[in-house]
Amino acid sequence: MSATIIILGLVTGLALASIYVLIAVSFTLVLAASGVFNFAQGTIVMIGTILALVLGVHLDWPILAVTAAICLLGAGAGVLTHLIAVWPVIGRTKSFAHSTMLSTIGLGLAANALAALLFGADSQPVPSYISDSPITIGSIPLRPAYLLMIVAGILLTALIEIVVRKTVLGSIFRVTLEDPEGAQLLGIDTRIVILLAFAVAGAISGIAGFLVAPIISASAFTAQELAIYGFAAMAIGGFGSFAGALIGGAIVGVLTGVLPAVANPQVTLPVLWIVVVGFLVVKPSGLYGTAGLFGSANLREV
Amino acid sequence: MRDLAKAPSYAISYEDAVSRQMAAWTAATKRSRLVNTLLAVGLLAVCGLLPLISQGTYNFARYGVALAYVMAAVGLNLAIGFTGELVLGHAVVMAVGAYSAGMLSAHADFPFALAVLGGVAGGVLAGAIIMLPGLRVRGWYLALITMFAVLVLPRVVVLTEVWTGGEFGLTGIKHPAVLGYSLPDWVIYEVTLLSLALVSLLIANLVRSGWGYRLRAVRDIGVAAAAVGIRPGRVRFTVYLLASVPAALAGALQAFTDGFVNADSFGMSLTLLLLTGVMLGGAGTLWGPFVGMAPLIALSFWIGPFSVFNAIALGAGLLISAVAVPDGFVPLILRWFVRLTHRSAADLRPHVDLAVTRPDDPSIRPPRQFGPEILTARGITKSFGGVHALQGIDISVRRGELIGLIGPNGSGKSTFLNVLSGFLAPDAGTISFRGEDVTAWRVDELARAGIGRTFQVPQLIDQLTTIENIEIGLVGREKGGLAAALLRLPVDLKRSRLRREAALATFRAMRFVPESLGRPVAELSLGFKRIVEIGRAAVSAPTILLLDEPAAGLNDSERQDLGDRLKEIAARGITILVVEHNVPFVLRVCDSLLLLENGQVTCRADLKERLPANLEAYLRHDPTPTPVRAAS
Repeated sequence: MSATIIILGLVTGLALASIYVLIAVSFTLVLAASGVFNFAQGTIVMIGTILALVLGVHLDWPILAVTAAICLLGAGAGVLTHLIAVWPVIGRTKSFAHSTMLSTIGLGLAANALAALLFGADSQPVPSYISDSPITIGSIPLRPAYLLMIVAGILLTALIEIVVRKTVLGSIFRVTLEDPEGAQLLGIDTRIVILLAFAVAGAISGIAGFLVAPIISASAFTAQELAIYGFAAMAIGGFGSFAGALIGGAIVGVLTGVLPAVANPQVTLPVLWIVVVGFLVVKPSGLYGTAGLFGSANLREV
Repeated sequence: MRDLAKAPSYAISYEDAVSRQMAAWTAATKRSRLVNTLLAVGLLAVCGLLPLISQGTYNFARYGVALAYVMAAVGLNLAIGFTGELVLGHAVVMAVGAYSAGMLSAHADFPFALAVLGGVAGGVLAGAIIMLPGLRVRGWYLALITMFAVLVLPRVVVLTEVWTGGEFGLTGIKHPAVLGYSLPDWVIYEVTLLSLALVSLLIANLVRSGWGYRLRAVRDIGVAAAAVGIRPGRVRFTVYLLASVPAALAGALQAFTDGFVNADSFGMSLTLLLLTGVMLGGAGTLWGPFVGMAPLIALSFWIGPFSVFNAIALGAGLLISAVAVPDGFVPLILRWFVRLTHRSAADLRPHVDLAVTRPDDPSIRPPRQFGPEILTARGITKSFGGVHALQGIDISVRRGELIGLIGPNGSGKSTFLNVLSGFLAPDAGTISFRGEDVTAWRVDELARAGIGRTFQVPQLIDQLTTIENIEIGLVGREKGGLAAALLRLPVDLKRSRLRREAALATFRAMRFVPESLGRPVAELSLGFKRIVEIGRAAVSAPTILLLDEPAAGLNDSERQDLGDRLKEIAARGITILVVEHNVPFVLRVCDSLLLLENGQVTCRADLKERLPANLEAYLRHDPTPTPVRAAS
């Protein structure tokens, strides 16, 4: 019995892990292209959960339409973040990284509160977007939604990894990060690259919210926690490395999946905090951390 | 800087001009301190008299909490503003302070004062743990890991509900009493007010002491702080502890003000309130937390602390302040004020002869006898990946020499300088300094032992004046003195005075332009900043100075100035190793040259003797047209 509980916890954990990996990847994309750590990223995930409920359940749109709409709106939210909290800061302050940190924290928290005002403060359960009848594998009943999350998470991460490593777009990201002025001299419009990074990261975060909605429900107050889980995955795995994001996401996911199954659910977050603090103190670069992003030599305030 | 010809002028000696500037600057500083003191005393009096016009337990609770929030913001400002550490965990420090004090009172029957002390101890301990990763990670990593703690707190409170009361809150805190008499509410309010005043006073003392230089050095000049002998990690950790004290004290007092502690009061909204208050008012200014917190607290009084509009306003306030007034309102108000009261600058400017010395003055370039070897490097190698930057460098430097390190781009000059000053560890080889093997020493240890250096981009604290920046060169050698600095004890005042006198002596010896004395270095030219940085390195009388391309980007007259000053420093017995591209400059200034090519020393020559063929060839092929030895 207890083995089953642990295995169920593991599957839940891996499903959550794929979400954390997606969030970590969104953070990394934006940071890589623009040098901004976007604290408002969690808010976009939260918007994804609420849209999953509003569009998919209240308005009863078909699943593909919901997916497309969340992609678009997430991308729009990402672009909006840039326009409101990043673009006005450019060239105005001594420390761009410092100022954008503050402006995105402010934007994120104001947007969370606004969402609470519009959507209500209560969390509302979101029914699963695919059949909820469990698939039994070797006497263990598994929720199909979890399997879908794992598959979707792995596929999306692999896709982004391939794009960033193997394509011209990836090179453009790298050049923009390494040497923004040099990139401009090469004819790259770095503003477009940065906007694109915000849009793609926004879309990924929105989808992450959509995927995770049946597990965590739709609520205006999940944003910070989700962002923190994504950060924990990054910190443990090592910042700027996709392998690290996957491993870190898996560790965080399994911890958050198994711990509530075997112990007091309240223990989860404190334990995770201790693990992350321990990692940062003992090995600040994480398990697979590289000095810079995507193998670049540029270290951004880590 | 020397554009004095147009102003009406009268002759005045250099010494007098400097003394005059020093007196003017000191007077201006005293004036602004007097204004600040009067403002503070006035504010304290107004707040202290508040109980005369406003009564009632509910009101006192609100005022007490407002004061507690300001107090926590004062602590946060010390970390974020003065030290540049973006820590977001002060709400947790406050909570632990409140819970510790509350539990000591409710469960262990501690009297008020002892419970508050226990609360402070608990909060500071929590602060140290929360901010510990700051010793290893920076920037947004630190912001997130400390913000993480804010989300963890409510869980820990629930897990320990036997003691903390869990979700229902901690009750049973005894009302403060003295000798059995229960204290009225207004007394607790006044105690909180006095605590806030005391905390603010101590922090004001701290930031104007040598510690203030340390904090700002860690914030503004990064690695260069170590190069003046400061240990950034130690300073940071000290700040984590110090900045936690006001927050912990605020929490402990709030527990007694409310008679109740609930984790909900110390969540993200409080974090956001403190952060926004500090940033809005002006991080790194003494009045910032007061100016920033006042409107935010007023707003939460008006619409209620738990209103969702409060969170929207705070978030929007933070966003707008980061975008529109990145320095905060206090600096903005000060700038307005200065513009309003600005007097005409067209007063008489004294004519001062700034020339350091005549070029042929024998006292500056005496036929010097150099001392014993003080710095020896043997077989230094360093590779970065496949690039072999240094391939076995052997040099020795005698005391009092002024050596030029020249070589083509990429020959390893800067790398070698970084190895000598401890910023890079060599792959192989040994460095001995004054008879000791210092190969594995840290940057700050080397700096305190007497190896000073400057950087290609001058690393100065922009908001401080020339004389203050020079003083920073001395704080690395000072030991501790934290308590003396906080309390402004005579020993600290004496230390400050000695520091200023030493800086002034260096200022004079290096013939700084008198008008630059009380000016923030942000207003100075690049050439001038380089000289200020050299002054900062020279003020502590190091054994050897390592200068990284000090003449780059300077015009002819600035370069001339710089050369004269280097010779002046060398004449005082300080050895100088200068990395430089400009051939006329090194020929005019140096005693000998080291040619570095492909990571190896290929030539070493005394400039008074005939130059070896390969050095001659290098100097001739240098793009700068150079009549060799024209200057000497």
